[in-house]
This record gives sequence, C-alpha cells and structure tokens, in this order.
Amino acid sequence: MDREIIKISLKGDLCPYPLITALKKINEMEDDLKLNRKALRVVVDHPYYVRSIMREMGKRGYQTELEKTGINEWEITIRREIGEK
Amino acid sequence: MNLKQLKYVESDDIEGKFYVAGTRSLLIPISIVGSIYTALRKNVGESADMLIYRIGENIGSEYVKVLGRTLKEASVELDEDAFLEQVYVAISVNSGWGRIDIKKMNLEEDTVELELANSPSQELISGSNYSLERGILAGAYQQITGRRVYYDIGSEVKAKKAVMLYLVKEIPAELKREEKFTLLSETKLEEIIKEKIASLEAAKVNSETILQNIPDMLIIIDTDKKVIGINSYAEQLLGYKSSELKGVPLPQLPIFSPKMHEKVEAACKEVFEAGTIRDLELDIVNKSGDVFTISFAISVVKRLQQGVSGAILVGRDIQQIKSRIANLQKSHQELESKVKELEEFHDLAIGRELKMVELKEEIAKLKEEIKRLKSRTF
Repeated sequence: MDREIIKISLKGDLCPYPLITALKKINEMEDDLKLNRKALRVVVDHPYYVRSIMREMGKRGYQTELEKTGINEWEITIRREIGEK
Repeated sequence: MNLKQLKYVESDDIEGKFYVAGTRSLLIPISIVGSIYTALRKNVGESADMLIYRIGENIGSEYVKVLGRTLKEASVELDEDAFLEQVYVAISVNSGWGRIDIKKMNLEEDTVELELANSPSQELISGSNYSLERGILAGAYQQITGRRVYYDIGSEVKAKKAVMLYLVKEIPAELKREEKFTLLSETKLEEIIKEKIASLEAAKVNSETILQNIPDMLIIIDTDKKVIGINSYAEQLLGYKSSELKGVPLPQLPIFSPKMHEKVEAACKEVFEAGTIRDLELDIVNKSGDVFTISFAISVVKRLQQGVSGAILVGRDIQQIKSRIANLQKSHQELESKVKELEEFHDLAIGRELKMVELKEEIAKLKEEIKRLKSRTF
C-alpha cells in the first residue's frame, strides 16, 4: 500500500524545537500513522537532532529510516511498524 | 525576525525581547557575568566561584521552567533523561557553548559525565573554573529531577581542549555557606539589618523595663569595680540618684561604712575569680542615715566574644525578709490555734452525737419494756 509522505523541514531550527516539532506533528498524524495511510519525513541539519529524534520515535514505537541527503542534511522517515495498528 | 547571536542569549532587535535557543527567557550575557565575577572577586575573593555557581543554578532552573512550558504548549511529553538531554544541548550548543557531549547519564543513580569544550566563561573570564556553566547544569538537573547535586570538574581532555564534568551528591560546605548571602540584594540586606536593629532595641527596652521595675536592689559595675548604674528600687532604698553614684568604685560608695570597705573589696575580687557569690550580707547606710542589712547575690556579666564586662549585684533587704518571716510565723501560729479550736469543737460535736445515739437506744429499750409490761397486765 502506498502511503502519503508528509515532509517537513526542520533545518535552521534550534534545539529543542526539532524534536518538539517532530513529536507534535506525530501526535497530529497519529490516526493516519496507525492506519498506515501516511508517513512523516523530517529534514534536519545536525547529527544530534538525528540521534535524538530517532531515539524518541523508537521509544514511542515508530519505525525510522535515515538517509543522508547532503553535507549537513539528513532525512528521517517515520512510520508505524508494518502490520501494527 | 532579526536575531543577533550573543553568548547565552539572543536579542530580538525588532521586538526588543531576549531569547535563548529561540525561547523567550532572561539569561545573562557573558559580558555581564564577567563584570559580576570581577566585582565579586574584589569583594569576596575565592568565594566568587561559589556565588557565580549559585547564579548559574538559578539560571539553569529558570531555563528548565521555560522549556517545560514550551513542551506543555506543544502537548509533548518527554521522560526525565530525554528532557535533561534536550536542556543540556539547548543551553550549550545553541546558547554559545562550543560543545557538550553526554558521556554517561543515569538519573536513577545521579551519575552524569559530560565533556565540555569551549565554554564562554572559561574563554572570556580568566580562571572561572567553569563555575557558571557547572551551576547552570546543576540547576537544570535539580529542576528536572528534584534532586540537588553538585557538578565538579574532572580531568582535562587536552587533545580536545575540553574538560570532564561529573555529578557528586555531596554539596560542598562552602557552597552551602555562601547560600545564606548569595543573591541577597542590598535592599534585602538593609531590610534584614533594620529588622535586627528593631528587635535589639525592643529587647533592650524590655530588659531596662524589667531591671527598673524589679523589686530588688540592682547595682551594676564594670571590671574596674566602678558603678555603671543602679535601678529605681535601689535609688528609692538608698536615697541616691543613679547619677550620683555612677563612676564611683563600689567599695568607696557612701552607702558602705568604712568598716565594710574591706569586705566589699574582697567580695569584688572573689566574684571576678569565681563568677558568683550568694548570700553576702552587707550593712548599708542610706542618705538619711538609716542603717539596714542587705543580702547580696553577685554575678559576673559576660558578653559574647568580649568575655567578662562587669558584675551585677542583686540585693534584698534582710529586715524586710525577717519581718516577712515573722509575719509568716505569726500567721502560722494563728492557724495552728484555729486548727486546735476546730479539733476541740469536732470532738465535742462527735461526743454529743454519740450521746444522742445512746439516748435513742435507751428510749427504744424503755419502749420495749413498757410494751412487754402492758402485754403481761392484760
């Protein structure tokens, strides 16, 4: 099933806003994420934000995929585990 | 928004507000911290480090409160370790600190090890010992976990131009000591001093009122045995005003006859050696020439940090006491006499009662006898 991917850029945001914004967005999309209709992709520009966002999403039961897209740019795709409701 | 990056703080030139890591807050630019540090060092020397550390604790605590509100507004919850990590990173990297690496973190055991590099205070304030930074981290830790700890400096990591910081649970004594004085404004100090002076004055008035109204004769002398003052009762009894006796050595007071001088001199010597004398009977002559015997208790007066400052003589008129004892004995005798009378009356009353019982029994017997005789007749 193709999911719609919602992409937000957190580049230029300062700590702790990248994490807060990502978590806030996850809360808003909770139903769609549960039904695997959507996934969230966040763009960050600092390795620390990559680490903290991936760790927090893991704690909350989300699956993350990381892709380095530039010298100082990373994209994290966040979705529910396949088969998980 | 036109943000200008300073150390620890960003100022919004358009709105004129201060931001820290994008969050409205009130932190102190490092240049101001430098000025405070310099002023403190001139005034309190080594204690400046601890005072700056305390300021740091307050900054860290306030900063966590601000971030806590931000999280609440966004309806985002973080557990303690994630929150602390966000705070540490936010107040370091984004607020002008070069780098902070969390090497170890276990909040349950209060173990945290951090590697801190290029800290602003260390760069700009010579020999700052990272006091401000350590204080900020400790204040944030306390606000999040509810436990106060102390951030100590560990070993230097020379290759990375960094320093290791770690938590200790024991708060240094010098930090606790400085707490009493830290962050007290001049106005607050003035208020405290005014309160203390007012309570001292009230205590002085109370003491003077008690001393002046006590129904005993009081004479206060200094360590040279010279009279400092006497109370109202003594003035009344002796017929001298306090001003007439002030400055006169006790043995030379006109209230003592020449034959008493030696005894008074010896008593003064003894009291300054032994501390107290009780039941010292001295003959006194008042201004009118009346002679009476006074029983004195003498004690040295001590002041904190100054030692013995003099002595106080508390005197009671023996004649008056003797007269009171005589009155008491007379009352006692009267009481005994009344008790005796009462006992006699009691005996009498009991005797009468017994006699009545006897008579009643006699009457009853006679009635029986009459009844018996009547029955025999018929």
